[in-house]
Amino acid sequence: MTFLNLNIMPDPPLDPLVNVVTQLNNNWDVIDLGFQKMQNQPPGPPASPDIGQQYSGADTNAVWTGSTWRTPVSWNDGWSVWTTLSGYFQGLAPFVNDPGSPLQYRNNANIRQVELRGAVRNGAVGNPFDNQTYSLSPMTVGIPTAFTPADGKTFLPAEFTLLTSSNPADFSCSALIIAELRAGAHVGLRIKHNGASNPGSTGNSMFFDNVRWFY
Amino acid sequence: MGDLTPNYNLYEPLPSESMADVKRNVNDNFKIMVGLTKHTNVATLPTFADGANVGQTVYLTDSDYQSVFVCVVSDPDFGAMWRPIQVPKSPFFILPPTAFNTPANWRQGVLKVLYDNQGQIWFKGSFEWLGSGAFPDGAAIQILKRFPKGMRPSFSKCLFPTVTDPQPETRPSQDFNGGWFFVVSGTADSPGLNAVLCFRSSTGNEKFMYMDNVFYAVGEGFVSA
Repeated sequence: MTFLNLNIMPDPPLDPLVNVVTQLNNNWDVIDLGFQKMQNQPPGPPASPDIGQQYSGADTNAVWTGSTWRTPVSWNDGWSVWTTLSGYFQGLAPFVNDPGSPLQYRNNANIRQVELRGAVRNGAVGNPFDNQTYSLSPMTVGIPTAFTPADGKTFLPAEFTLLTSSNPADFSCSALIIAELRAGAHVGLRIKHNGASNPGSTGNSMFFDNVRWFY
Repeated sequence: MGDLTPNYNLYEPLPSESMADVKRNVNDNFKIMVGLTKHTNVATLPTFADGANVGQTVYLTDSDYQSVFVCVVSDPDFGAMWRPIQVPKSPFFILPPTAFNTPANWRQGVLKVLYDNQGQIWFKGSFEWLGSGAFPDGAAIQILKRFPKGMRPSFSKCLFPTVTDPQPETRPSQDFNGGWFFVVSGTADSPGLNAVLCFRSSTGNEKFMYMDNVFYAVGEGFVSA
């Protein structure tokens, strides 16, 4: 694809039927427009851009898609508000939302990503998370299936901690768990804890802070 | 005889020269300009085999990724990878088998990466343990070949927690463990060390080590010659 579509005038001897001056002047117009496209003369983008053509604005780069100037998509602008998964653990006793940091999710439409934060509490008194799999698939509400991981599942490390005790010694337990996400009525979560945690006075919590995946 | 311009060899006649030679004075210059190419529009991002060059820019016309992309990796082992400018993330690039360092008893699963327009690289996928029993406890293996520039972190090294699973298609399963994905750009005392998996306290039947949610800012780090 040529950048400058110039007239090529006939080589000598000159053809009297060809107006060389007109062709030459037309070429200057093409060159002028080409340089304007390249250099983005202010005050704005080129008047007749080509698809795929870029220009540099004050603080961004734009590309012409054929119908609009597309500027770099911001990550920060795409996040939704946090949605608390209230009622998420209905029928899943003894699991409840951690009172201080309930399980929440948000999605980013720009980057098609979901992020989790908050914690799941094993609410039974003195009930630790043992070395087993805990299914947290919601009964009635949850993360919409539209946010299922792109290939149906993902494996994410998360943090376990005993947060309910005021004794700092009880705060030492930390382990990896797996958050498994599968398509269904809602995005399903499963956690797997390796080893046994220390029993707490009112339950232990598993944290999902900064857990994220592409949907 | 006139002069040639330094960049494009356009002919500039001397003031004393006749302008009657239209071919030399005008048309040959225009032919040079006509031969210049503008930005490249592509339907799919060029691969290493296509001759992708680091630093090359193309405009991807795919409706999902209408954006300029800059080639950040073009490597015979890792293939070509592109960073987007306008769209927030690139398509996934599947690491070819040649990126795998082929340690004994390990097999590369579908491991893929994408780049975002913030300068970060994201990993997704797994490696499979083919040996009997669990991962070797406390072992560290060089799982991938040395990363080319464009995949290295912007600092000397970084460490990511990973998770394992023995039977990803038949859940639930009981055994899992953690591991570490250790990326080192290469330092004076360990040049070229990249992409190492480490394990600890393996007691079950782990088979797959997952790299999901591993991401970092790409940069030069400490690059050894």
